Amino acid sequence: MKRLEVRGLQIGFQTDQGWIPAVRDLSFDLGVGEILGIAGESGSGKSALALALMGLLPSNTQVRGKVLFQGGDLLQNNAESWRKIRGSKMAMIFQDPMSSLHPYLRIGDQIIEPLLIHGLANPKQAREQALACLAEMGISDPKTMLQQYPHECSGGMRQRAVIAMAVLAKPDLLIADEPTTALDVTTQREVLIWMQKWIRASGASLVFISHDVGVLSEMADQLMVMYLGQGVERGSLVEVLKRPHHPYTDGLLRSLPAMQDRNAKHFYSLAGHVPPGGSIPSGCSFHPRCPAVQDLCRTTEQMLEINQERWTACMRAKEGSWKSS
Amino acid sequence: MDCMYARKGGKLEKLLSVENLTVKFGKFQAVQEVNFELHSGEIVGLVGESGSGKSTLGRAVLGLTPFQSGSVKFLGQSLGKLSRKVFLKLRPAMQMVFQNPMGSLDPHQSVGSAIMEVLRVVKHATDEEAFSRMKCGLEEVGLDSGLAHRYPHELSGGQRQRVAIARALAVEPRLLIADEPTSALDGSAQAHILDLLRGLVRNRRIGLLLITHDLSVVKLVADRAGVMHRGRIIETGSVEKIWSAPSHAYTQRLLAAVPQWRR
Repeated sequence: MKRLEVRGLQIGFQTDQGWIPAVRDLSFDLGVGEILGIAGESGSGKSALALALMGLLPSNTQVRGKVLFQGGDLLQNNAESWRKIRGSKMAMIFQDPMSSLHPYLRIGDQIIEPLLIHGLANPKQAREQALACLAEMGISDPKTMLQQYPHECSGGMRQRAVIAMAVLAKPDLLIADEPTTALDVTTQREVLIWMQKWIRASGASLVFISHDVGVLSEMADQLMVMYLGQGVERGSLVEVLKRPHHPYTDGLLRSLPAMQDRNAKHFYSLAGHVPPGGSIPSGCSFHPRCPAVQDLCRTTEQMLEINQERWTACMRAKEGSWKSS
Repeated sequence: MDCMYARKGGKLEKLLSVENLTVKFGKFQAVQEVNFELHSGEIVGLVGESGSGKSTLGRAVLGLTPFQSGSVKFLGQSLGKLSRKVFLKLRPAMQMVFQNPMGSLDPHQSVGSAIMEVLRVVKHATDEEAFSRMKCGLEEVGLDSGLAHRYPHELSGGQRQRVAIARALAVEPRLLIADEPTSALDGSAQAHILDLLRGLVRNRRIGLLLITHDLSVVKLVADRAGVMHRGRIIETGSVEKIWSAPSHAYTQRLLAAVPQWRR
């Protein structure tokens, strides 16, 4: 069963230098109850994708394609239909809780707001649900926390408040963009474990965006890797990590400190860097940095689909392996 | 001009010796009775979570934050006891690299001119010397010297961090303190910077104090490590020892929280 179907999504930003493509012809599915991890370096378009799914892109943006969710195309939504589903059917968790919490309002009032706005509970019920949710997340004194202002709480507490705000209305789709990147590892672990438990119990689907493959490897069922606005590889987490089909995925994994050889003369890293905004190389857009590049790669791009849930944008993946070259 | 700075084979020299260092902010003890040593050609990692005092410790060593008791000895001289004049003379030999190079580079100054400025002011270099040493400096950190006329915003995050490192190196420091130098960078750029820092320590025989919350970074490049918790160094040892047999309960908890995965 599918929860979300993204088809041919294109996102472009209007700037002084003209149109800059942020997401290019991206298609993927998200199943019911599934956690899809999206990995990529900065500039890969993963955050633009998250904002597009939530209808939060600024007005200087052009979005094309289809995003099918619960029988409708989200990209056709007007402001009124977005208001109806945001916060109730779908919710988002950002990296920095200070930017999603209002500094002048008490934490409690902010957490229960989605429930009240969508008429899902009366204030008393909403407070009780908020208390229960915070307690479940390991907040030792949730009652006091509801009365506090964001600056009175630690980063870990604030991020839990933001997560509570997102999940209390029991959305079907949760989008989390680097939700634990600003947290300490011990706090991060607690938050991740709780989020995963919540997804499993509620049957909701989660799009989990992170540059940290270690975190994704603990959270996700499926993994999609993005480069320059395209999905370059998608598959089950284990498949992608164990047998990456795309040289970019392979390079990204091998560059991680945890994967490096301490005794190597030089640490492994991908050659070159992500080209600056707007300049997309011809053919396969990864070819200037690719260790296995061939002439055809410079002019042609090709999607290789093994099945609907396992595909790669490397045409050489089907020759057996580009790694042997 | 010769771009080589190699100081290979020099004998291991004690650069830094911190004894019973305590830093207080009002009544709050950010750093409590910390002891450690750092030698030339050595990378010491300082790991801890936010609020553990690791950044304050780094700043106190450099004299950027005053300390209340204890001592910091650099090349045998106790920093707290030096006259301002002597301290300022010694100070260029200790350099710092911060997490966010945008915060340490002037947006209105080309990166080449930022490096030449310290060469002129600290090393009293002539314009010509400063120019050629700046170019060498950029090449040493793996940047094309043609980038010298660029401004910080025209560079990638990894390139900016290289510029910050090149500027720190321009005054030929003996000790480098790097506070989360790769935390703002992605996988591949992170590996580049770590490789660069490790190479500098080997070739120039400088000592590196690497402060980070990222345990995998310390495990990869450090020779020894200290684990900080609530202002104290609760465990020290070789990286191999800490990772294979952590003795403190907090270290065990910290290591267990790191996402584990194998290919």
